[in-house]
Amino acid sequence: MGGRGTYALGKNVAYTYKTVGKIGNIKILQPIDAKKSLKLPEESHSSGAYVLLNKDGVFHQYREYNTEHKVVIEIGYHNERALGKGNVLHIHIHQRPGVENHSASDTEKRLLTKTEYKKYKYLFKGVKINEREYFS
Amino acid sequence: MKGNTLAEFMDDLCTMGGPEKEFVFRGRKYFMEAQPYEKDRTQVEFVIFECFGEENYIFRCHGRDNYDCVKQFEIAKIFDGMDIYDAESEIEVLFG
Repeated sequence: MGGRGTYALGKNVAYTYKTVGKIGNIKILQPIDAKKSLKLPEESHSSGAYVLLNKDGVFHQYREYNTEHKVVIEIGYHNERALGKGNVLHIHIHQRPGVENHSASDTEKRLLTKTEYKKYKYLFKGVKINEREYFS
Repeated sequence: MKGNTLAEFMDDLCTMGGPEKEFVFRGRKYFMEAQPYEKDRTQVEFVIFECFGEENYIFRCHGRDNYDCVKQFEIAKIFDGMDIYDAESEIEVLFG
């Protein structure tokens, strides 16, 4: 498998996502089949980044891809037990691109720095964080 | 299973760099993910924790790779005494 919405190394793979809007220049994606769970593509098609909102319109995930369509940065807002309780805004930075390295020991998983937060803040629709506590 | 097919769910555990899935079972929300095993970062750990209360873990295992962990997950009776194959019809995957 592994072809769900992926670029699949240039092979033709059926689109399983649709663009439902944009935040800045970033496409907001949703599964075409509304019965499917929310997720972003493992590999990009034509864009370098996509964003996913949950059903209430709250930011859930952002993925940035390199020129080979592989994930290099992911930001999530969901339960992340290792970093805190409740929804935790966090970032994964891939030393080795590709979703297959998402949980690798050299992939950084941590809270955002202040600079990262400022850079991506415009994407964080509905995200509630106490900035003072978050960056302390 | 809703949200994923059972085949998609199980396949993702091995092929997507490990699981990152939020799901509901019998009205309660859980999160499943993979991470490096704290005591030996060459190994992978699978965890499932509750997305409520103290966010207790209901499952933790580690192994050489995702396949090792999937084997342990498959036989874990963590869904009110059921394994994933018996419980799957009552699971809705919200994310992942």
